[in-house]
Amino acid sequence: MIRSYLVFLGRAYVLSFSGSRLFYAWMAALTVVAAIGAHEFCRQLVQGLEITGMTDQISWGVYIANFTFLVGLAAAAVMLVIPAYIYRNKEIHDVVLFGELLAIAAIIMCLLFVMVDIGRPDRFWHMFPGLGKLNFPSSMLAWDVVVLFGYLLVNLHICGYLLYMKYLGRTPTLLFYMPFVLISIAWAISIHTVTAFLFVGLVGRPFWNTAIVAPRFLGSAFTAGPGILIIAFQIIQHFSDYKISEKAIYILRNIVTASLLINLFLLACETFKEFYAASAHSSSARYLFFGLEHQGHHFGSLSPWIWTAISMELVAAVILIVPPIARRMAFLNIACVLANIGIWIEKGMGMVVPGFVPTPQGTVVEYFPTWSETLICFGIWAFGLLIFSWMLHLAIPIMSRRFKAA
Amino acid sequence: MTKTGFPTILAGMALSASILSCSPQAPLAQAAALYERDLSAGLYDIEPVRGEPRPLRLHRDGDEFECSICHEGFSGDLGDAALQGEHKDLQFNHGLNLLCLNCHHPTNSMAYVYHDGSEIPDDQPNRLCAKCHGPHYREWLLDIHGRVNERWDGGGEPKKLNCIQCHNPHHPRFEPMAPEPPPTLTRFDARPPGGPLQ
Amino acid sequence: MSTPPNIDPEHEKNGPALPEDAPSGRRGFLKSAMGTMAGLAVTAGVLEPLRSLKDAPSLEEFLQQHYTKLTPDLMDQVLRRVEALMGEEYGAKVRVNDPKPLEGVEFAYALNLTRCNGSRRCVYACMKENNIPLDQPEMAYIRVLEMNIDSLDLEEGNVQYEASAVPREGKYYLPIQCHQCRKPPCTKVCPVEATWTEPDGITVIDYNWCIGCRYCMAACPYEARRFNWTKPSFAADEINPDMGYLSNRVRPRGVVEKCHFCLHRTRLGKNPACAEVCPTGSRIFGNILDPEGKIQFILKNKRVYILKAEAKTIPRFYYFFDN
Repeated sequence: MIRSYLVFLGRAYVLSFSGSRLFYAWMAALTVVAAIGAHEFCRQLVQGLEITGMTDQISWGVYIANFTFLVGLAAAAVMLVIPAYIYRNKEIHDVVLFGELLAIAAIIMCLLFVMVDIGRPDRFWHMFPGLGKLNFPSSMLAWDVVVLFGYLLVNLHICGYLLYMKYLGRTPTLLFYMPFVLISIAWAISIHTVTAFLFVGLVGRPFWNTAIVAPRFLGSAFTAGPGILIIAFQIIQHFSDYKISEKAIYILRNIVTASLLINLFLLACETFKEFYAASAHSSSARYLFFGLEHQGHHFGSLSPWIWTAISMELVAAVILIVPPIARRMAFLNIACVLANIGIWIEKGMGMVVPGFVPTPQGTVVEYFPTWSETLICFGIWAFGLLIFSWMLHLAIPIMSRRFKAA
Repeated sequence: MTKTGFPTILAGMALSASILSCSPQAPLAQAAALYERDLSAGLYDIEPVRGEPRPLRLHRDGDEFECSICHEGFSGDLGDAALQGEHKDLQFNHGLNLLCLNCHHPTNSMAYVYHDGSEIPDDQPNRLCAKCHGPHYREWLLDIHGRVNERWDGGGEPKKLNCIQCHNPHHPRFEPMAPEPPPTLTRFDARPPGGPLQ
Repeated sequence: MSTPPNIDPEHEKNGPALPEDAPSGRRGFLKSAMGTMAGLAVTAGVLEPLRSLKDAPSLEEFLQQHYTKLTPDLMDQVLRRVEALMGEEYGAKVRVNDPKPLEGVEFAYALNLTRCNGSRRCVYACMKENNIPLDQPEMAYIRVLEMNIDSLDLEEGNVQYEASAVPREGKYYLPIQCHQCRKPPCTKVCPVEATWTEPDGITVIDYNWCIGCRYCMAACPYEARRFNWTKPSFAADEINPDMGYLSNRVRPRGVVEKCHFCLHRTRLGKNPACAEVCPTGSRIFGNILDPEGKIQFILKNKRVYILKAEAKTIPRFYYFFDN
């Protein structure tokens, strides 16, 4: 038994490094981008976070923005897990694993974004319970680390177990994965809720200190994740022999449509509250949408971004709710790309940065990511894509039974 | 890149990481003479920043001066006339308190005067000020009014200054003072010119 | 990514598949060697910046436990090590102490907004006392806001006011530093308990435990915390050699710092630097547990204002007005 598992690992290793020229080119390109990011990260290790654009006033930037977006991507796998395992939807069941693999890649990226954001990565062990001093349950960041690691383990187990059973040609034992699937459903909601609470729980930041953040996070996550999967499925379809039913994509399209509309509705609720009541607590929203006057200067570098994001989401929504357009795959893809970029801006930079503007002391400072910071972000994204591609490279032959136990 | 490229990168990274993490710390610098800073002068100026402490006793032109040399011969309040004459260099701006003899004793020019006409010795001007400035006097007694050079726990040498050692009694309000330069907001701001500040 | 070559059914009959294009012969060897070279070159390129890493922690520092878990013996070793490090990195002879909280003392601060004239003397005395590089005034623990006399709106305040003389007409001055809250949001959010409130009411940071996530900075409603974006640089003669482990010792890169009421002074009975230097006597520091003390007098007799009282963090820092 153990021997056959070791053989499986060995064969999977060999399979990892055999592929077409295109596969090699793709992986090499990702490796180069990841290596450039790693190089910049090494520079950051030597010089400190000085090489980023963050300041004491805006102490979180594009790292945490990406982190927030990616937690959503990881949580979105639940949108496949529920129809696949609970409602036993056949079409989704065939692709649910891809969603879970995306979740794994996303979580790994999340953890990397946390690693590059902290000033002392050498002290990461201080967060390990027992060894260090994890401030649980008081700190929401401690919660986040716990739930992210937990979600990673649960998904690694589910994917690993199901793929290995498929490889062996055996029917998976319900008891060995179903409890974890049920846990992962609750857990997926919780990782994104906890990430929202990370922001919501701060008394000095009225922009975040609002109950709508968690629902908004879920709304945007369930738009972005399935949107990316729709595109990923078509890429898989194109480059492999694995057949993905159109129905699965249409189910995802409906999820994206509903979630995007909910997200826009919640955004509208938030915007109404900020601008109609317009108290001192609305300054951050004013900064985000229109810019702020402070000491005779105008600060408004974020507002073009948020208007772009909202426009993109609105166009995506229009495409998705007009049936003749939405049925055309090309338009569906455009809608998914627009929605994803829009959400990346809206819940990433558009969520994290304005929380710091104006500062609690009322000063206004703006944030501009540096090149190093940007390259590190690209590097992590490339590394995540590398992981995702690699996992697909192994999973697809297993699922189409071309890679199986002898 | 061939198939061995990827595992080599991973192995190389792991190897380099392990080498780096184990590299011995640079040996403690053989600093024969470390810089030793003498703190006896203090790190920052804690003398009254608005000027040296003023003399406690009645004085003129910085010297202790026997007022009685001139004032022996006359009594009574000359009011403005005094400020036109001998005391015309005196900057006088004490609100509604316009008469010399509100504070100075009418017959003993080397003393202050209390409400009942009795003398207040010239080394206890705080009692004089307390005639009008009761709340400030009370807070001064409690170390709430005035500079706090002494320890918070009341130990050590008391360094409490008397009213007129900080305030000019004839012009008690302080002049505005120059502030230290403004701070930078972020490390991206232009550094203050001329290197470290005073 | 068409059909991976090693998984065609024919192959599988003969046990585990072998890589089809396994290096064989001279060409294979060359390919493999080139791959290895490329891999090594990339790795070397990626790691190249680490060669100039100078302030990597020593093994003892890396393994050092949390402040509260250090025995007196271990603590002593740590203090001596920090002293040696100061000599090594800055060439300064320093003394690092770890004064403990005093029995029956809880520190509090009262600041007279009627008197404060915005001279910023406190800002720079604090920097000198607490080893904040003088050419990095953005790191100062105290920021003084010039406020409009008719408003408490901080957004109208100006930190960077320039004037030939202060106070200016129509303005008042609001210095802000750590409020040493009784319900500090910063300690609540720290994921590793690197910051906590001591029995004497001072919220401190173990600079050797902080992981630099900056969550506390996001949590603080007073913007009191600063981050060491890089290693602070000093000439040896700029360093205040009288150091406290939890207070003014030179901080390493990548950790958060803030005002600690000069605990290396105040726990010995001295006033904090900002109170000592204030030219107007606006800054009152003392023991709030002393019923006859200065702080209690102010709380009972003055009109006291708490900044951001709505945050309910219950600061130990009070502003008050004279009549």
